[in-house]
Amino acid sequence: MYLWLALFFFIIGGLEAMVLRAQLALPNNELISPETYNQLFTMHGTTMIFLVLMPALIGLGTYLIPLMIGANEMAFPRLNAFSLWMTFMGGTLLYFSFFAGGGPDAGWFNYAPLSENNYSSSHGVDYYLIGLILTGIGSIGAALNFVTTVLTLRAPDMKLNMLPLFVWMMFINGFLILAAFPLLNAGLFMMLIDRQFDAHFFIPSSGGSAILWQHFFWAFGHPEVYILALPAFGIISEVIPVFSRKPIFGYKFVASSTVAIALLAFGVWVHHMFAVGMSNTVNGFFAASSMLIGIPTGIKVINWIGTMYKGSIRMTVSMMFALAFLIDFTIGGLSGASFAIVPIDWQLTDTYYVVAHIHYVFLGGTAFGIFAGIFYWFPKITGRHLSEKLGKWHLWLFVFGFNMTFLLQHMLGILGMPRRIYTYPDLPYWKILNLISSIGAIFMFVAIGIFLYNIFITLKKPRSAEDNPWEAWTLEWSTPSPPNLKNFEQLPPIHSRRPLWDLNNPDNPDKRLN
Amino acid sequence: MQFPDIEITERLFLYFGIVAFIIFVLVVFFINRFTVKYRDKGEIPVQSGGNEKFEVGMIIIAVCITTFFLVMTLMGMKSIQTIPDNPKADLNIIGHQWWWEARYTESGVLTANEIHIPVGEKILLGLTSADVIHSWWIPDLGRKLDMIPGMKSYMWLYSEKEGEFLGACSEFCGAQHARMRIRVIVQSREDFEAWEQGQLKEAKFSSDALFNRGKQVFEERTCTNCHSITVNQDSADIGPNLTHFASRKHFLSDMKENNKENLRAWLKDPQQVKSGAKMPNFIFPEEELEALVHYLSNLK
Amino acid sequence: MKDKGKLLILLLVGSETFFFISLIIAYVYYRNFTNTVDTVAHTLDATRAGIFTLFLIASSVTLIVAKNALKKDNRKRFKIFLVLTVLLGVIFISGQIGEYIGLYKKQITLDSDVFGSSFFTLTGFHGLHVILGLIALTIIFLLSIGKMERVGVAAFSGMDVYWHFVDVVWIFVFYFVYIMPLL
Repeated sequence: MYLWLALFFFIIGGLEAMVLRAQLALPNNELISPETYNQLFTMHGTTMIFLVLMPALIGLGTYLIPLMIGANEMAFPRLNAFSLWMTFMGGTLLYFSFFAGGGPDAGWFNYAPLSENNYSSSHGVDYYLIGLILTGIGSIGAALNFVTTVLTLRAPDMKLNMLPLFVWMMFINGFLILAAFPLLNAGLFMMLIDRQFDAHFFIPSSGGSAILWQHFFWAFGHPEVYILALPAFGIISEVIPVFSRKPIFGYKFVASSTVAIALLAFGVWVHHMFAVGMSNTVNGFFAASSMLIGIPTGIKVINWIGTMYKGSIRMTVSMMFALAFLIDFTIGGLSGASFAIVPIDWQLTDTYYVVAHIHYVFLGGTAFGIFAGIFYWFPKITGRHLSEKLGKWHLWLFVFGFNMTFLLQHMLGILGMPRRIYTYPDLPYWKILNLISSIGAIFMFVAIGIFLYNIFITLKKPRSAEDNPWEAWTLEWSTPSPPNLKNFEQLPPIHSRRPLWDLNNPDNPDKRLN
Repeated sequence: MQFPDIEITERLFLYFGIVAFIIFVLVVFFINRFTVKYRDKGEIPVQSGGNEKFEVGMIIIAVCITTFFLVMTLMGMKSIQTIPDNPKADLNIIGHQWWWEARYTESGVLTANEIHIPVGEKILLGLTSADVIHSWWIPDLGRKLDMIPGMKSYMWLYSEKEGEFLGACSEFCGAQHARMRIRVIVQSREDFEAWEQGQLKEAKFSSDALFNRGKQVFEERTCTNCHSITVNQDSADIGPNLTHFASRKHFLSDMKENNKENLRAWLKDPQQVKSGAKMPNFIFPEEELEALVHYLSNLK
Repeated sequence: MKDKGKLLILLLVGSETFFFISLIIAYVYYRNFTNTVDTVAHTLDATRAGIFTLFLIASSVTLIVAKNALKKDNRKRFKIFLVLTVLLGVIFISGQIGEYIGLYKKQITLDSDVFGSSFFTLTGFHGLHVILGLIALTIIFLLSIGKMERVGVAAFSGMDVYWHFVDVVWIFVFYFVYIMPLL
C-alpha cells in the first residue's frame, strides 16, 4: 500500500519536474508563469520528500522488518493502517490546494515571512501546513511501530547485535523520526496559528522572528536527510553482500557509524543557515560538526567497497543499482562536505550547486537504493521476478539521464545561477548547460516509463519465484514467495547474522553469537 | 587585508576539489576493479567479515583530512568575516520585493538596483529587508549574506578591478525572485565621486512643456506615494527612488534596458512585463503615457 | 521488554518531549529577544498558577496510589483514587480556563503580540494534553466500574506514564513561564 502510494506520487512529482525543466530549458522562457513555477517547484520538493521517499522507505520497512526478524506481523497493525491513512490524507490535502485557489508557493522549506499571510495570500500554504502535520503524525506512528516491533517481536534467539543491517538502520531511523518530526510539527503548528489566528511567531514586523522558523525547520530538516538516507544505506548493506556472496565488511563499523550519524544529525542543522549571518563562533561549531558527520558516512562507503573485495560478484540489476548508488552518492556526499567549508558555502549555498547536491543525495542516493531494494525484494513480495532485461534499460537510461541532468548543475551553481528561479538571463554558458540538463530529464522520464511497464507486465505473469532466488541469508528468504499471511510456520535456528547461510553450509557456519 | 575574500574562497575550493577528486577517483577505481576481477565464477569465496585495523586506519586518515579543512575553514571565515563592534555601514542595502534600495551613509545618496562603489576600497555593507528574506550575492565580489527583516547584517564589499559585476537575490523571495538581479559598478575614486555629486543634485527642472506635463502626471497620479523624486532620507521608498532614474542603464532590477520603448511598455501594463510586481496598472491615456515617458527619461 | 503497549507510550512520550521543548524554546526565545514580553509576563499571577500546579502534582500522586492499589488488587481503593486523579485534573484545567478568561479581559490574546502567541500556544497545547489524558482516564474509570473491568485494567498500563509526563511538562512550563520572569 505504502509502495503504491509512493509510486503514484512519484509519477506526479516527476511530471512536475518535467514541467520545471521544460521551463528552464531556454533563457527568458515564458512557458509557465512565475506563480505557477513557484507552486510547482514547491510541490515537487514537498511531494518527493514527504510523499514519495518517506512512504517508499516506510513501506519497505513495514513489509520487511517483521519478515527479517522472524515476526509474524508488526507490533501494532492498526497503528500501521492509521499511519498510512494519515500520510494519504496529508498528500490528498496538499494536492487539494490546487482546487482551492492555488498550491503552496513558498518552497518546501516554507521560509517565513514569505509564507505568512501578508506575502502568500492564497490558501496553499495552509494546506501545506496541515498536510505536513498529518504526514508527520503518520511518520511518527510508523516509527513507533518500527521501534516497538524490533524491541518486542524479534525471534527469541535473535539478539540486537544480530539484526540484519536494514532492520538495524530502520530501527535507528525510528528514533531519528521520533525526535525530528515533533520539531517540524511544532514549527508547523506555530505557523498555522500565525496564519489562522493572527499570531506573531514568525512575523518580524510585529515582534516575531523570521530566523526561528529556519531553526525549527532545519533542526528537523537535516535529520530528515539522514532519515531518508539511512534506510537506503540499509538496503545497500543487504544487497551488496548477497550479490558478492560475502558477509558485510565490518558489520560493527557499519552498525555503529549509523548510530554516530543519528546522533550527529541533530548537531549540524545550522549549515543550512551559514548565509544567515550568525557569528563566526556559531558557524565554526556547526562547520566542525558537519565535517565530522562526513566521517561515519565515508566509513560506510569504504565498507561497502570492502565487501566486494575478493567476493564473487553477480551483476544483477539490483547490484548494479547498488553500485550506481555508491558512485553517485559519493559525489553527493563530497559536494555536501564542501558546504561544511563555510566560505565555500557562502558562495554556493542557494545556487544550482545545491540543487545538484540534493539530487545526488536523494535521487542518486536514496532513490537508487530504493530501486536496488525493489529489484531485490520484488520476487519475495510478489512471487515474480522483474525483467532483468528491462531493468537494465531502466538502469542505464536513468543513470545516464540523471548524471546528464545534475552533474552540470554543479557548474551552473559555480557560474552564479541561484536556485528557485523560474527563468534566467542569457549569460555565457547558462543556456547550453540548462538545455543539456533538461534533455537529461527526458532520459530519466523514459527510464521511469520502462520501470512502470516492467512492473505492469511482471504482475501479469504467473508466480514463479523460488523461496530464495538470490541465495540470500536473512530470514525473509526462508518463507515462500510471496509469504503466507502468517509469515512463519516455523523459524530456522538462529545463531548468527546469517541464519540461512548456516542452514545451507552446516560445515562452515558463521561464528555463533548467542 | 592580505587576500580579497574571493581568493580565499577559491583557494579553499581548489584544495577541496583536489581531495574530493582523489576520493572520487579511488571509489570509482576500486568499484571498477573489484567488479571486473571478482566477477562471479560460481565459487564461494572466503567468508571474511572485515578488518578492524584497516577501518581504524581509514578513520584516522579521515580525521586528519577533516582537521585540515576545519582549520582552513576557521581561518578563512575569520579573514572574510571580521566585523568591528558597533559597526556603522558605509552603504545600506535594503531588499524589497523585487528590487534593491541603496542608501549611502556618508554622502546621503539614494539609488536603486545599480550600485556604484569605488575600486580598491573596503566598504562595509549593512543589509536588511523591508519585507521577506532576500540574499545579497555578487559571485565575483565575495560572499553572500541574507537580508532579513528586522535584523541588520554586515559584510565587506571589495573589488580590485573596475567594471560591472552582476549578482542576484539568492533567497527565494516570491514570484519575481528570478528577476531580482543586481549590478555593481566599480569605478575609480574620481568617477565615483563625480557620480555621487550627480546623484545629490535635486531633480532637474525644465521649461520643456512635455517634461512639465509629465511631472504633473507623476504628481497627480499618486506616483509619489511610492516613488520619490527628491534626495531626502525620509522620503517614500516603497518603490525605487526616481530622482535620477535616467542615469541608470537598466531598470526593473536589471531586467530591462532603460530606454523609452521598454519604459513605455512597463508603464502601460506592468503585469505584462513583470507579473507579480507591486506596481499597479494605472491605465494611462496615451497622452499621459507619452509625457511620463518623456519626463522620466529626462531625470538624469 | 514484554509490554509493548507501555513501550509504545514511552516512545510516544519521548517524541512528545521534543515537541514541548520546541514550544518552550520559542517562548524563551521571544522572552530573551523582545523587551515588551517581560513587562507583559509580569501580569501573570504566579501564586495562583502555583496553587493549580500543586493540584496537578497531587493528581500524579493519587495516580501512583491508584496504581499501587491495583497491584495489590484493591479495586475499591483503585477506583477512588482514579476518580480523585480525574477531579484534580479537572480543577487544574478549570484554573487554566479561568486564567485565560482573565488575560483576555486584559486584552492579552493570541493575536495581541508575541508573548500572547507563544504563551497561549505553549499552555494551550499542554492543556490539550491534560484534557486528552482526562478523557482517557475517565474512559478507564467507566470501564472499570462496568462489566468491562478487565479491559479497563489492561488499558491502564501505560496511561500512568502519560499522565506523569503531562505533569512533568507542566513543571517545566511553570518554571519557564511563571517563575523565570520573576528571577
